[in-house]
Amino acid sequence: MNPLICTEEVCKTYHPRKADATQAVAGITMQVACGEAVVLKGPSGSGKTSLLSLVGCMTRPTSGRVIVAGEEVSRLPERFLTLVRRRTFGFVFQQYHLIPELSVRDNVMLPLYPERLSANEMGQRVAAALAEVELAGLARRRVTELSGGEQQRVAIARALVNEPRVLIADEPTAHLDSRLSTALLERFAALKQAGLTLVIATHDPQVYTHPLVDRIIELHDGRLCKEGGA
Amino acid sequence: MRYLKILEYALASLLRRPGKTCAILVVYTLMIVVLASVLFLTQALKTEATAMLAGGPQLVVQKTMAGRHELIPVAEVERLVDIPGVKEVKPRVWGYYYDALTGTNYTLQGFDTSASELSLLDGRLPREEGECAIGAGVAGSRLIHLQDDLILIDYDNIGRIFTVTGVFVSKADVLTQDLVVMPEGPLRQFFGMPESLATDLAVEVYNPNEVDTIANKIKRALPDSRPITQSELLRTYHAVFDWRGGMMLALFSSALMAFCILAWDKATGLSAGERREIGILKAVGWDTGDVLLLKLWEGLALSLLAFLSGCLIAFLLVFWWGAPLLGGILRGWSVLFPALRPTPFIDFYQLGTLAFLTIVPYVASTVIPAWRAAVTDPDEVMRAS
Repeated sequence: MNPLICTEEVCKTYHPRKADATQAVAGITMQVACGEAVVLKGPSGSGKTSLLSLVGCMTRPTSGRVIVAGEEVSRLPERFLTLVRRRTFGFVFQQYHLIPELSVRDNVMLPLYPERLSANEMGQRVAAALAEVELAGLARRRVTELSGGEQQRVAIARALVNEPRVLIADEPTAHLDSRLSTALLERFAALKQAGLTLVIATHDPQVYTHPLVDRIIELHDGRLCKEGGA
Repeated sequence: MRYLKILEYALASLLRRPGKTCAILVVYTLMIVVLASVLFLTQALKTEATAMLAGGPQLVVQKTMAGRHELIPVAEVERLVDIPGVKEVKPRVWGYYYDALTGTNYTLQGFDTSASELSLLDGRLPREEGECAIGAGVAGSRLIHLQDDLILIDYDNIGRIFTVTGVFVSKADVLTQDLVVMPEGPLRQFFGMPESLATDLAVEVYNPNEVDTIANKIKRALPDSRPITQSELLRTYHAVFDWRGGMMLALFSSALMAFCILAWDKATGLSAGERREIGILKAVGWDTGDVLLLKLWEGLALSLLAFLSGCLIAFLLVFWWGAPLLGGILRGWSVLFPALRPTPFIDFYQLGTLAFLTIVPYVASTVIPAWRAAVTDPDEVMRAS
């Protein structure tokens, strides 16, 4: 089976020419197959978020290659890289990264503005994404009026609204209690069932021991130290 | 479609920050009001001066003594008509009158043919002693209308009553604002001016291209005279209004400087919230062009609104409310002149220059910092916020 995402000896160094240069990812080679649920596991500072950023085309590697759907994206011009990011990936950030002044509906609509869609189509997609996370009734509420769990569901709806092939989640259970974490994982399982590929960074045992996870990649100091089935 | 959607987002984005948006809008609008008022008024005064002189004589001859304007003997007419190229010479009787009642200055003019060139708003020109026609400014300051009495104090401190037979209207507001026209004889009596003297002599020539040459001949024939050509007067008016306008603009350049500092302050950095928003937009799939378009729309919407509001307020201020404060400074008459209602005139070249000098820097100060944030990897922008 052809991998959907592939990294080859990928490295990422922040501020490479400065005194505070930090190597976050150091030569990682990995693959994620289509429909697979992969967990990046490791302690804080192990490079999980940086590897997610590389895989999700949010940043470029300092060296090595990132290949998405058979195409090397590491050297793509910014415009095309953005297009790959928009069409292929949906992101659920650890801090959710919602725009606090906007309503739930407007936050979810953000990825659709650059698309060639009519206002009607945009509205339909947003409604479908909100229904998916059971937030249709809160569409007009400001995100600051929502609980942490609801905000995360808004973030998931925003990640899904562009109908991505891969959902990338960074520490998705970090701000949730056990009950909400279970609900979230069930939602992820349903999405995987629907054919979505999942790449999740976490150090929460509740996540990497969940049956939805196919494979665990363990990182330490930016290096891949262990890889295997869940 | 995409452009309009991003415009919609930009407008919503401005409305999301009402405090900041309003503050910038107020400062920006005030600056435009001040600068546009000076430009409008300067241009209107220059236009009115041009219109005023267009109906006047080609050449005016004044007598001077010790460098000051004196009354000129009417007998000099005979000497001037003999100069080759001179078509007609007419003595003019006119003068100024300070009206202590209203604290304004009027121009009293003896009736001649040039006055008949002025169109009347209402009524007719005066025909007999005890009649006068007045400008709209005089009518306004004295609160009088057609057939009312205008009482003026003559040179001998005796009150004289004139019946208003007409009220002037003219394309050149400056020309008729402060005008009181009456037959020449009564005006001489009013000023106590002898029949043998006139205020100045109006000279018409056959060939307008020869005006300067004839002015030189007059100067030689009457060494104690000062011939003033229409073009000299026009240049002087324009130079005076340009100089005053320039002085005003120089003074208000401090406002422009303050605005530039504001713009520079904006350009040198985005707030953490703005940087974070750009990072989020990039992360969810906006490319750099989309972010720049968003900021361009934001900057354009705000600056165009401020510019148009500023110009509209300046227009009303100058042409509707008679340019309070600015009018006195630019005309140089302070409170002595009747209230001015300049004829609306807009120089679109100057307005375009003003738009360029204010909108472009503001839009640039909005787009440049956004560009700096937008070209960075969204990952780094998100980590930084």
